[in-house]
Amino acid sequence: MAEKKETSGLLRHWHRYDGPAEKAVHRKETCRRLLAYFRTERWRLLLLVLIVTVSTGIGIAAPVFMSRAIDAVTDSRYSDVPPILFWMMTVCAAYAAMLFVQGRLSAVLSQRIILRLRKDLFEKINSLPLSYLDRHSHGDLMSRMTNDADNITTVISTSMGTMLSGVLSICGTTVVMLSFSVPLTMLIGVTVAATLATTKAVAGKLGQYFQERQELLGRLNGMTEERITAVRTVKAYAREERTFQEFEQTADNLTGIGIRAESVGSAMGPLMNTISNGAFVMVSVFGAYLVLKGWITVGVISAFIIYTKQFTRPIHEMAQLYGQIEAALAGAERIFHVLDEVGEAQGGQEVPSDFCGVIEFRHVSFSYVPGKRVIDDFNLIIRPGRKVALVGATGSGKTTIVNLLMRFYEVDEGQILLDGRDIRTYSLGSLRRLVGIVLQDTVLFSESVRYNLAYADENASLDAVQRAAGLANAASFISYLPQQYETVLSGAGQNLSEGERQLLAIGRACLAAPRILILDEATSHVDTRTEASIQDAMLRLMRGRTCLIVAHRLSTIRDADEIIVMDQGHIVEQGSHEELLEREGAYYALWSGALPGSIEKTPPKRGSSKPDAYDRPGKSGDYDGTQESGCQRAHALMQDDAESDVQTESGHGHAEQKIGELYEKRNGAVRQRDITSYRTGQDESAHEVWNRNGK
Amino acid sequence: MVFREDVMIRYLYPYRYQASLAVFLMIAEVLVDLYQPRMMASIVDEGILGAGRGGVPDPEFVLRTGLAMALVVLLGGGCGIAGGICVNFCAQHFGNDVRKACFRRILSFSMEQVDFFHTGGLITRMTSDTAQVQTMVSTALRGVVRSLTFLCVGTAALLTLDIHFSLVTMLAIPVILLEVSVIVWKSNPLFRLWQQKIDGLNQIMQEDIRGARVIKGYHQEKRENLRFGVANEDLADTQLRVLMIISCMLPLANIVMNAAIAAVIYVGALDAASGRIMPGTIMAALTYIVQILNGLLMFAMILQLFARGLTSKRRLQEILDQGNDVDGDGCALPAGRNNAAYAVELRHVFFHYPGQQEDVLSDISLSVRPGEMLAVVGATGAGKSTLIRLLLRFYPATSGSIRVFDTDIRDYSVHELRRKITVVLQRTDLFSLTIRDNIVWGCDDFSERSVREAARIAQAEAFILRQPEGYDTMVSEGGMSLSGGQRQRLAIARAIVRRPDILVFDDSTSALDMRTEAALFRDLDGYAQRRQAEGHPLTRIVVAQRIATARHAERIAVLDHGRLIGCGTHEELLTDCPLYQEICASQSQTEEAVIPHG
Repeated sequence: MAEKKETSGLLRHWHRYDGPAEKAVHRKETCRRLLAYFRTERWRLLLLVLIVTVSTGIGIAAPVFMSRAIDAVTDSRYSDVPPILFWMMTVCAAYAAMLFVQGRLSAVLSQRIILRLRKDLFEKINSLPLSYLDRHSHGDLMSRMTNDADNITTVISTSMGTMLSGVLSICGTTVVMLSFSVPLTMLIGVTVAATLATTKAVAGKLGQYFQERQELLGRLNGMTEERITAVRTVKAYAREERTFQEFEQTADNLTGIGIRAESVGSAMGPLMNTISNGAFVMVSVFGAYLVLKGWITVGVISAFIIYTKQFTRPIHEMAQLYGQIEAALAGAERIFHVLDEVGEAQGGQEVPSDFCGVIEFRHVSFSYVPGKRVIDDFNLIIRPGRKVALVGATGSGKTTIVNLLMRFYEVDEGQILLDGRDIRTYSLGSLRRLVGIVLQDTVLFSESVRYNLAYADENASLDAVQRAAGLANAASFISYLPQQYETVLSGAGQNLSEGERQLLAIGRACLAAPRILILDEATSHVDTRTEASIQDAMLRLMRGRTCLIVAHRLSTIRDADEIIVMDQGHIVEQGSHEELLEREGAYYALWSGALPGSIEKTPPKRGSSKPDAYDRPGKSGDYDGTQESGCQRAHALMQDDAESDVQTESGHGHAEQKIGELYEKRNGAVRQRDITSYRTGQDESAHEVWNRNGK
Repeated sequence: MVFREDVMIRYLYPYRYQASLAVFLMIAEVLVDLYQPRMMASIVDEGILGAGRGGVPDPEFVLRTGLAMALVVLLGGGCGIAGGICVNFCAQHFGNDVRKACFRRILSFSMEQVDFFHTGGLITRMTSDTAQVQTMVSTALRGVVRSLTFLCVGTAALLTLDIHFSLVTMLAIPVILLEVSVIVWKSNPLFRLWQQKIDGLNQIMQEDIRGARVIKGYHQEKRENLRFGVANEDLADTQLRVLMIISCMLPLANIVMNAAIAAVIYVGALDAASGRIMPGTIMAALTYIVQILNGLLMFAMILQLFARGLTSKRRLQEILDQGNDVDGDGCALPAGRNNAAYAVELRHVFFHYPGQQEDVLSDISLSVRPGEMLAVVGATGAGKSTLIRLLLRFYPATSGSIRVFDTDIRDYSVHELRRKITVVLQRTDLFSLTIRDNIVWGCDDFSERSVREAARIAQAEAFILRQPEGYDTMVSEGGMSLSGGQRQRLAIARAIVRRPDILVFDDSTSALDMRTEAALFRDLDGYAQRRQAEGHPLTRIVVAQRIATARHAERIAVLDHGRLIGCGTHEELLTDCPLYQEICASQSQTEEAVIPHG
């Protein structure tokens, strides 16, 4: 019931925050939403209020005993003193007990609430679309969790009880004071007015300073993070001095505003103190007159002095807490701001189990920044089981296609269809489960190797994990780790080499056994010798799957059924490797290292040192036509260029021969290995693993 | 706890006058607070009850004392505010100085030291630990002075007021001290645990933001939520335990305090009965006692805060205590000698990472002529990047010597060396600045023309001009608009605009497609020729994984397991170097062979 209310409340806020929000509304709104978190804790909260009420009541009553005792002394009724003191102690013991319970209760309350707040925040961040995460500073998002949540915890655990008892004791004390002496109470009323006026004046200034300081602090921390992360670059460029100067400037600015903000903040205490001491003076002087007039007793003055303290203290405390509360509210507002972000679309249908997997891009257009189209009227059909490679210059939109297919970003115009149905009608989960993805930047988690490998399926058996590692050629280095598969990768695998990290990522994809596989420049960090062996595993992984490959390396895409050459969001060429080479268009230019129309500017090394007649068994004949022209170009080049280039001509033929031989040898070895792996059944069992996990 | 106090205190030293003034002002404020009850007592005793005047009240006296009290109060308030300003001045400047000192120290760290602390650790220290230490100082100045003054002066006042009351108080103080120390002793280890849990939680958060694509790609949001949930509850649990212990403090202290009050009234009643004291004195004593005990409690709370602050202080101290490693500057040498025989020369260089046995580089001898282009190839882990790190003096060679322009690199100042050699590192660090500012980030002396030229050579101009605001487009942290290849090209432009004598690419073109890479090297060649013509030859060293990249160079060095196993032209290596042949073959099979050419 309560849960329901809460969600509907949140929904309401979403709408409210859609428009430009006015500043004034924010604070109230934030308080309201923060209070909404207390809703499930309402019994605890109620209990807390009850206890605080009682304890505050006792706190107010205690001075009454004291005042009686003093009066007894003044009136020389000494025998009355001990029983009064006895009662006083009893009441005080009760008060202490209440304080104890109150402290514990508010601790529990604060932790329960902050637990949920952090959970909500994290889950929200986890559900945010990449367009949000890519556009916002990660450090900034992090500080929602660290600073902002922390500030709120502090306020709830320490300030809440103070606030509550403060308000109550102000009310209660007023009543008791009125019962003692109306004129003296009126007098204290004056101090209240003074306190409020002062608080208001100081608070306005304070809020402004605090905000300025917060902004500068954010900038400084962002700068620190960025520069320290880049410390190698800073040092390599000998930019320590300037980096320090930039840092110093921001740090000094922060100090300036910090001194102002903190000074105003810390003036609050003495100001309040002065006011409460002023009240003290007034009570003494006017009280004395009233006593002289016989209207009140000396005991009443004594009680009033304590009440004055009791009355001004909570106001004082609340004023002291002002900064804290202000910071917490600002933090809460920032947190709610994140919570108000619309997460990725939920719902949608499950992809039917008998889906066949035709992917179609139909007139797809997309831009990250309005007006700058990255993908422009893109049309492509990928039939199931086909391997399609996306190539093109950097920035031509290859990775964006992957982003759109995974629905990391949603298309602006047009549709992406899976079996003829818009992928937006499917639920994100079921769509993404179909797809395995190996990214350029390897992401690992600070958990065990096994956790990382079995990322797609936490129930995967150790056997399956080991097989996946084997397929990705990761098994050997894992066996050198201190606890093998149970080794925890501290710092998200920072101490592994880039190659090893990538092998783990490939192993992770192996275990996921996806129907559709996306390789986004996946092997660019692995050295070519390792890469060659990964290719075997990759080929096996790709078998029977629809593959979308984004790469710069021919090795990864040569065997693709279809190659899509992209340029500035368009398809400029499309066809098989052989077809495209024959066409001698953009694709050819891409790989021969030449720019279309400026072939004569091709770097000499490449042209001259490439094996001229590289005999690929069974294929050499296909290239006769192009060989000719490539040859001519290379020769033309060499005449243009420095002598050192011509030098390379010598020993040329010999070199080619050598490569040819080696190639044969190597090819044989690979074939041999393939046969061996088939024989040992490694391949079969791997398929079993995939199939099992595929469900 | 063992820590060296002196180093941190040093940063407070420049502000000793302000700090003393702050202490003085705050003591004054407290004294005023403490003096008031005495005036109050005299108002009651002399003014109302007419002590010393045979029981005749004295309204005149009441008014006079009242006025004096008001003045004293104002004085106290003034002192308080001024004291606050002084405290903040000291604390903020101190914090700033510590922060700057740490940052400067980190910038002067050797790579070994950076590796030791991890960049993540350094960032936390710089951001949160400095803030903690700053808070600690301001609390110390304000809180400790205040609470101690309350404690001391209150006790003294009580002593002069009446000896009996003091005895009662003397009994109460040890009880409260005992209570406080037990609680501090109990909660201290928990504070450390708490900090660890916070770190753990942040780690997960950071990983998940960074790894969002993988989490979403594998649809493991639920699992990550669960992982976070465990850490979250763990943290809340630890925090709760801390709060639970602390929650005992106030009620216990309260009981002791009230017991003391009751005792004072009782003793006071006895004394009053015997005519030793007046009731006004009892009232004053009560006020003092409340103040003394409040001072004690305040002190206890501050100790709690200190527990966290001291941990932070220790962590910062670790940074500040680090000595200089390789970065100790040699003497600055006369700048560039273009007539040097070799731009870079390695003689029998051995290297192993500190604390490890295995040599990463062994017996490397290699030389590069000015204006030459050398490529370094080899498998991952062959020692290519390490070679670059030694050249930049990120690490010192274990043995052997490295010479740049015929001078041992240890004889250069580090800055001079790194001005001569500009490296485009494997990892491209861009900053939250505009594209232009990122390009010129590494140099002080540049013109718009040189920026454009560098961008053009790096093949970056085209995509820069496609950005919404061209060169003035901000590079956002997420780098949403920049791909890996674009980032690499910006980093290359940044290196070129510095006009280095030696330009080093540490696998800096791995994310570029072949065509872009070829165009880049072509334009770089042109640039090098222009430099040659100007008499400032540009020496280039290119670490590469692709043979295709390496072939742009005049000579290629082949590394394998830290050994130089071949160096020469592509053709020479093809005939002489089996490993090179193997690498070529593997890449040819996958990459080159399929391209027909003449």
